[in-house]
Amino acid sequence: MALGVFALMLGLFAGIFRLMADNGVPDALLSQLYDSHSILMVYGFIATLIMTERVAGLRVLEVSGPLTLTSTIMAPLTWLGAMVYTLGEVWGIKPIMPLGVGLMIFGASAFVASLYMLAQLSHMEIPFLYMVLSVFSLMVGALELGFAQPEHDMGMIMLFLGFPIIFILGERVELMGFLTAVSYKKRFIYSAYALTVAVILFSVSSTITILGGVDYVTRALSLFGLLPVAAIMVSYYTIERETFRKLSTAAQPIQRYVVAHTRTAYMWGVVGPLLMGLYLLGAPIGGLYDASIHSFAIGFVGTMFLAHGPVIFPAVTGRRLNPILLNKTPLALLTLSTILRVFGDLASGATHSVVATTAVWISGWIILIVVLLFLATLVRATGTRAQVGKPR
Amino acid sequence: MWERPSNVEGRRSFSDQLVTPEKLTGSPNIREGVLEALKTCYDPEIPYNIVDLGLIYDLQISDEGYVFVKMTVTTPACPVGPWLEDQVREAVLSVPGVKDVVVQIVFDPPWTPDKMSEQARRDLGI
Repeated sequence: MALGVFALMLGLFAGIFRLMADNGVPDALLSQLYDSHSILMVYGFIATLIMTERVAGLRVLEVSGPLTLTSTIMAPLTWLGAMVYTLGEVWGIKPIMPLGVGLMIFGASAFVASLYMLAQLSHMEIPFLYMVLSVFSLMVGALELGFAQPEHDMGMIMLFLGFPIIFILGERVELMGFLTAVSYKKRFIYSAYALTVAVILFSVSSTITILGGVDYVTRALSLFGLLPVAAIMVSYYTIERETFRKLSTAAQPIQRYVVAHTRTAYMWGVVGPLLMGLYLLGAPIGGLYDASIHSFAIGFVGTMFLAHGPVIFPAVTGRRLNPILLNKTPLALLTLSTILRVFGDLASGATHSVVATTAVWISGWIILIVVLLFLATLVRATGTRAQVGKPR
Repeated sequence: MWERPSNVEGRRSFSDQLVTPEKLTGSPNIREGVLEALKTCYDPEIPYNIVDLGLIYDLQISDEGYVFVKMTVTTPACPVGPWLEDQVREAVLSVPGVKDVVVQIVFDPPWTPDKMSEQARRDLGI
């Protein structure tokens, strides 16, 4: 987890200081670091954190030797791969970059093996189908990274984003099984098939881009890939809203906290595909591409992390959480940051005005504040060690 | 009748020492108290207690106040597992007369909606 947070801070600083560079503080090194921003955020932070939370969850299960092995190596390998790649990018040590790609693919493969064994253990095939698909997206993204940079490659960016989005949707399927009738499970299977098609479309789109193919073909493929993502977001939002409408009086503080976050995340999960769809259709609005990416990455993924941090953090640290001490200030700030970012992206596409650049710049700093505030809140709310035995 | 062995380390180890359920004569008061305590435990995302959700598969209580809870969780290898385990442990240990508790998390048999109580199914609209 510490490694993931390190990558997050590095990625954030790369992004924020690059924005400062845009404001007239040029720095070649920061510019190079910014080129690895997406790798740091996706492989260094998000993948590392998601893998770590799964390992933390294993501590209450009797697991086999092979599962222990694969789950132990997956996060460090992926993180190391991201760092090696970034090092090669920043200091121009190109020969080590394929090593970084290889480590990321190896780490992702270990994750797939772990997920497969967990599916066997738990008899919960549908959620793991989503999760394996998401890691496949991560692996293909890393593989294509061996041939091209992610900049301006729509398919590759969608593969990067596909990992956290589909993985989180898979985690939600686990929950949906408890909230919906058995017949609904068919819907989740069809959704998984639709997402599989989406990942294939993004992979083909990225490959065509790398090979220098036709732009409108890659746009069409990506557009069709986005449709199931948007549909699933709406579907999940509806199910969770209905459940909490029925049981609102019984909800505990932690449940109210989580659902406020997940519902906000789903809204960004719908805004992202809408903006990207407009971009792919060639709408005459500048900055749609960046606005869409940030709706997904900050709005959806970021808010989901805030939602689940209070569950992940105690499991990783072995401390007991007092949900009363949680608050929604980080959510409010992150939502403000995402709005500013989306506004700034859209406005800067139209004109490079000071207002737009400042909005983006402030958004970046707010995210840094959110991260620090959220970590401080978690540390405060998990003040005592979990009880493991009764005092005699 | 069983005692927690003195050499036990970890959380699951003494489940091997349990006697079979038919030999258990745990105090009805403790049993009632433990069930009520378990009804205060929740998955962080489902506004329904774990007993009515059907997550508790087995509950054994010895004369001496040792409790064994066999349960499943909503998500495998997810931090919700440790979260629920800690909640259950803390809730059971708070019951007067309980000396210690072992929580075992299993996925066999897999959870299905028919394990939920009638009330829970009605409330969740299933």
